[in-house]
Amino acid sequence: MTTKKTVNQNIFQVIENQEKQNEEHRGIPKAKFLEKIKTLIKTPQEASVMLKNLETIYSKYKFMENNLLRQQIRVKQKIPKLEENIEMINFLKLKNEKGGSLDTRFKISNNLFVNAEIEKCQNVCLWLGANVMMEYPLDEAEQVILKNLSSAKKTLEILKKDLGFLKDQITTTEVNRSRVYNRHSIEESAERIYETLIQTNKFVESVLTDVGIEKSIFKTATSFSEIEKTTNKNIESSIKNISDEQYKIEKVVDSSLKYSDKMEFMKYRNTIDEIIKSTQKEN
Amino acid sequence: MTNKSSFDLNNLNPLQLNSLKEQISSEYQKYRQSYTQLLEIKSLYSNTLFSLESLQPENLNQPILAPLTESLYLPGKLTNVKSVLTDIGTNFFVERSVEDAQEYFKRQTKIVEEKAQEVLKTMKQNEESLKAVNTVLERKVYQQQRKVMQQQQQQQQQQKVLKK
Repeated sequence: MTTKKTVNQNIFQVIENQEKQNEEHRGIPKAKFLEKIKTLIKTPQEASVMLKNLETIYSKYKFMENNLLRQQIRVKQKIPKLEENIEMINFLKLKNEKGGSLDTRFKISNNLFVNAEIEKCQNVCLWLGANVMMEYPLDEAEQVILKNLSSAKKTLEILKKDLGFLKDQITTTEVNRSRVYNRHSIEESAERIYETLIQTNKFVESVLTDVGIEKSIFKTATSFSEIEKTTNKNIESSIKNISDEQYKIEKVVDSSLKYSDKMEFMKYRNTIDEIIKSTQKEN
Repeated sequence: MTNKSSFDLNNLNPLQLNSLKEQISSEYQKYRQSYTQLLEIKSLYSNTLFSLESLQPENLNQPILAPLTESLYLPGKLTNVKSVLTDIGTNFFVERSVEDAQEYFKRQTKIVEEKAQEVLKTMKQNEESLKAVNTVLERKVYQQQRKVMQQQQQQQQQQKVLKK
């Protein structure tokens, strides 16, 4: 029970840290780097719970990243258009000083341009988006456009910073996820070894009681059932213990079993061998 | 276009048929894309024709709101209702009279329509070949399944005989 609590606490710690960091980067929570995974996770179930949480956090980060990227694209497209507008207004100002009317061609459709004559340009209409167009005198129009341009540039810078920060968080969650997954696989293999040992124990018990061998001999054979199911070091030592005790059992069993029972025992032994091989590979 | 007549579909095994099927379907997608693009272009030309109609001689010196950039508009007067500048592609522009421009755009719409019809034809041929490949593939898969089932039945019979 205590282990479950600690796992939940750790997960909530991550979320708390997220809320604290909210002020810093416009709502991007900071990902806590899980340092001592061995102490955090002690059973495969805890590991799988942790994995699920990390997966959800990772997908949220990716979603945020997509949104920010799209925002960045939009802002980047706006900026050159605004700069174009400013150039136009400057040109109109010069023209006003010179005097005379402006003879232009403007685009009426995809492949069609039409002539127009523009007299003294005092007022200018700006398309502000959302089906809104406003008429401004030249100077005010210039101010409006300059304001928009500066705010666009600011948002672009903020977006860049946010994206950088977000990428860091994504990499930390990826690292966390991979480490938890490795831990999870080790825990799973340890549990499998333990379960098969329990099975062989039961089988050997039944066989030996049938044959009538003293329980004292059997006790030495069951000592390996007390092997802990935890860390790397213990798995290596437990593997040694398993092989030693198996040899003992085999000797005992060999002398006293019928052929058919022997074959069943060999099956269990083979499964243990396979698991040992797979754990050795992972380690 | 795939030359079905050059080889017999029945000689191919299911894997080859599958890859052929994928090939044909990807070609079909491309044809579909180009067909929709051509339809879009045709609609653009019809739009320009519609806007050309507003350039009547009565509209001379009418006040208009002329765009100088994408979001900057200026009030002005329509001075020229006789000639227009047409974009004929690759950054080439030609000044024509209004009637010539109308004729030009009508011609362009015709050309685009013809091309679209051609693409539609090849698309249909593609569809037919895809159907043929599909039928042959289904038949072969069915035959294979039947063989496998027969083999299983034979094995079961043999096992029964052995046990006895």
